[in-house]
Amino acid sequence: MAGSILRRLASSVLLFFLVLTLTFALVHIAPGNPLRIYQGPHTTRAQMAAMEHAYGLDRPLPVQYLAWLKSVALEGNWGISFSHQRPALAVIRDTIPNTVLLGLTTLLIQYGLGLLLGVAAARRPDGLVDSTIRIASMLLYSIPTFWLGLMSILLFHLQWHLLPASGMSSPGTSNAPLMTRAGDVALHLILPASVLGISAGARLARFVRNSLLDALSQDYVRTARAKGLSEGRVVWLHGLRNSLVPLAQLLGMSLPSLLNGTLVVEVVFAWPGLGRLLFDAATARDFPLILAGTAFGALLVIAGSLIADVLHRFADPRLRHG
Amino acid sequence: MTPSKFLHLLLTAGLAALLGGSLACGAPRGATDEKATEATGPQRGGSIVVAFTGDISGVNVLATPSSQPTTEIAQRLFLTLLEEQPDYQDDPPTFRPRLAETWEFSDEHKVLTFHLRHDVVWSDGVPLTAEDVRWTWQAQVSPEVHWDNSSLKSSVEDVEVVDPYTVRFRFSHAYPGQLVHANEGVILPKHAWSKLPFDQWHSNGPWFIDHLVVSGPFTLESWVPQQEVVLKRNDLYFEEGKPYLDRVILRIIPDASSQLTQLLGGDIDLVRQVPPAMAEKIAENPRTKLITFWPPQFTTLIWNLENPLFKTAEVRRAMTLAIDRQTIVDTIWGSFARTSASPYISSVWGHDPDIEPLPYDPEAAKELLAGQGFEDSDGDGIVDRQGKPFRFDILVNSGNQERVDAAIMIQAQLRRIGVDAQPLTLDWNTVGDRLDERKFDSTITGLAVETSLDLTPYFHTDTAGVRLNLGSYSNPEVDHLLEEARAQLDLEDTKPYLYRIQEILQQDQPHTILWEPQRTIGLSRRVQDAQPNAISTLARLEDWWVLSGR
Repeated sequence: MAGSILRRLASSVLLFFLVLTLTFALVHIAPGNPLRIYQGPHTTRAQMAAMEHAYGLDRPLPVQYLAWLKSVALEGNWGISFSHQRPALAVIRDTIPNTVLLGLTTLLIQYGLGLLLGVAAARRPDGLVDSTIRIASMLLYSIPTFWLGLMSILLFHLQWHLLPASGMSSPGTSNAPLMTRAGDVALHLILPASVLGISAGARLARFVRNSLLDALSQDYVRTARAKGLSEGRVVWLHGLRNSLVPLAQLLGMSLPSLLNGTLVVEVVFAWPGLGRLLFDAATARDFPLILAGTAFGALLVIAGSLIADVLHRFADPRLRHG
Repeated sequence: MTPSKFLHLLLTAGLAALLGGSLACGAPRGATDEKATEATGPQRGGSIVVAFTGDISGVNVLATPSSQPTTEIAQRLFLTLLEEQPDYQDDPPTFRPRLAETWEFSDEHKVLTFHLRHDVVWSDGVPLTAEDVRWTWQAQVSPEVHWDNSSLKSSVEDVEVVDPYTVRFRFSHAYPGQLVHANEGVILPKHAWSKLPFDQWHSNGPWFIDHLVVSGPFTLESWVPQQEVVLKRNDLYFEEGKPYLDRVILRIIPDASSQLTQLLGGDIDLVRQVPPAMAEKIAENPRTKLITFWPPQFTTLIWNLENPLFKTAEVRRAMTLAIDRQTIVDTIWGSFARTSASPYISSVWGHDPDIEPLPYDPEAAKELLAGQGFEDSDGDGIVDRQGKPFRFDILVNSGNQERVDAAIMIQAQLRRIGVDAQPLTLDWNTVGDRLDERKFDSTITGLAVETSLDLTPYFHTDTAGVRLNLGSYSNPEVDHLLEEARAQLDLEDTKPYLYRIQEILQQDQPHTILWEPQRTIGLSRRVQDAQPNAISTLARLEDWWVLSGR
C-alpha cells in the first residue's frame, strides 16, 4: 500500500508541474492585460509601455516562464499580485482560513444531513418518510443556490431578524476580543454554510438512499438479519458501512469543488473566500495570483483523490487486506 | 457577465415585490428622525455603514490600481489644495479653499501661486507645508510611479517652494484648465512616504498603510481585505469640531441585490448605485431616501472610422436615425436616464440648448444608405455594396448589463433597415485589448467629460488612435476650434467654440450618443446633511452626522 501511495505521489508532482505550466501558458496567451487595472482615461500608450517594461511583461514568454519557474522553485516566491501589490502567496494564505471554515462547515452539514435523510429514506423504501424525503430533497436540490441564499436572507435576516446576512463579521468588529469575534463569525457562518450544505446534502441523501438500498439487498445483510441482529445494527453497521465505499470517493472528489466552487454563495453573502478572490484575479489577469490559486486548487485535487483512495481502502475490506 | 450582474438581473424584479411587501410596514423611523433634526442640529458621535461593490486597492492613490472606492477613501484621508464644487450646471465650476486659503495667477497666466493654511498638520503632528505639495507633484509625474493621471500635469514645468506656506506652479503655456489640473490629486506626506524610493512603490502596497499619516477628516482604523474598511475620526483635522461621525465603515458587498436588502433592513446606510428597477422602492420606503443627480457622463456607441463602412458622415447619420434611442432609454432606464445629442450633458454649463437628438427615422436612414450605394442586391434582407453586406460587430463588456441590453435592441432596430449588427460581448479586460488595438467595428462605452469641458482627448486629430478618441475621429475644423478654446484664459470665453464643436459633431456623428444616466444613491434617513454629488459620493463626509449612535 505504501508503495502505491508513493507512486501516486510521484505522478502527482508531475501533474502539479504540468498544470501550472499549462496555466502559465494559457493566462499569458489569452487576451487581456494585467496592467489594465492601472489604466485610467488619461493614461497614454507610452505610459502603458513603460509599465509593461518595468514589470518585465515585454520579455519573450519563455524568458518570463523560466524566471517565474526559478523564482517559485528556488525561492518559493510566487510573485507580487498586480491588484493587491503584495506577495500572491500571502493573499491566498490570508483567504484560505475563510474558505476552509465555510467549506468544512458545509461538508459537515452536507454529510450529516445526507446520511441521516438517506438512511431514514432507505429504511422503508417507498413509505411515507421515503417519499417525503425524496420529494423534499429533489426540491432543495433543484433550487439554485443563489435563490436559496437570497430567500434565506429575506426570511432569517430581514423578516425574523435571527441571523446576520452579509460578510464574516458585524461591521467594525475587527478589533473586538477574540471570543466575541469567534461567536460573531459563527453566527455569520450559519446562513451561507446551511445554504451550501442543505443543497449538497439533499443531493447526497438521494445517493445514500440508493447506495444503502443496494447494500441492504446483498446476501450478507440477509445473513445478518437471519442471525437475529437488530434492524438498527443491520442498517448502520452492515448496510451503511458497505454503502460508504462510493461515498468515500465522493467525499474526496468533492473537497476541491467545495473550496473552489462556492463563488455564487460568496457573492450573495459577501463571504470573503477564494472563489471571489480568484474570479477577480482571472478577470484582472492577475497572473501571480491566478497561478498561486491554481497551485492551491491542484493540490486540493491531488489531496482529495489521495484521501478518496485511502478512505476507499479503509472502507472496503477487500482492498485493505490485499 | 459577472456573477453579481447575473444575480442582479434575475433578482431585482423579484426583490422589488418581496421587499415592498415585507418592509413597507416597518416603523417610519426616518420621519421621526427628521423632526428631531430640526430641533437639535448636528450631533457628534455615531457611525455610518456604506456599501461598496469592490474593495479598495490601497491608500496610496498614485501607485495603486485606480478604482472608485480607492479614490473615495483617499479623498477622506488626504486633502486637495482646493475643493471643486458640483456647480457646473449653468457656469464653469467654482473652487472653495481647502489646503490653500487663496490663489492667484501671474499677469501672463503662466504662474499659479497657492497660499496654504498655516493650521493644517499631519496626524503625527508634523505641519503640512509647501514641501509636501512639491514632493507630491514630483511623485505624480515620476515615470517610476506610473500615476494614471500624470498626463494632466504635462503642462506643469515646475512646482516651486517659495516659503513653507507658499507654493508656485509654473506652466509651459496658459490654458483654461490650469487650475483644474494644478488641483488634480491629493497632497501626500513627504516626511512619511519619501523614505520608500518611487521605484519600489508598486510592489509595496501594505508599506503605505504601515506608514500612514493623514491630513483629512478621517484616518484608517482597520482594513480587512474583501470585507471592510473602517475609518475613524482624525482628531488633528483642522476644521474645528469636525468630523461629526466617530467612524465610517465601508462594507464590501459585491452583489447589488444584497446591498439593497441590507439598506432596507437598516444594516447599511448608503448604497452608491441603486438599479432603476429598485429606485422607487428606495424612494418610497420610510427608512430610506433616493438622492439623484446628473453627472457629466454619457453612454455612447462609438463608430470606428478606420472601418470603411463608417468612413462617411452620411452612413453614421443613417445609423443614428435608425436607432430608436428613446425606446432604449425607456426600456432599460425608465425615468432614470434621458436621450442625448451632445458629449456635454443637458445640464452642464457648455451644453448648446439648440442641439436636439436626431429623430428616429428609419425611412430617412434607408435613403441615406441608398445614397451611399447600399442596396439589397441579392434579396437576403441585408443591404450590400460591391457585393459586401453591411455587417459589423457591436463590442460591449459583459459586466455592464445595460450596455449588453442596448446592443441587443440596436441589433433588432438596425435589422429593420437591412443592417446586420452583431453584439460581441467580452470581458472588460479583453474589450480593453480590442479597443487599444482598434480591433472593433463599433463599441458601446461610457465617457465622463471633465467639467472644464475640454474635448481634446476625445475628438482632436492628434489624439486619434490614442486612449479616448477610440473611433479615430479627425476633422480639421474641430481641431482648430478645440485649440482656440484651449487658448482662452477664462472658461466662460470658451462657450462659443464649444457650441460650434457640438454643431459639427451633430453633423458628423462620430458617435451615436445613447443616453445620459442619472446617478441614484440610496441613503438611510438617519444620516443627516449628506450631500453626495457627481464629484464624490462621500463629498464633505466631515459634515455628515447621525441622530442616534450606532
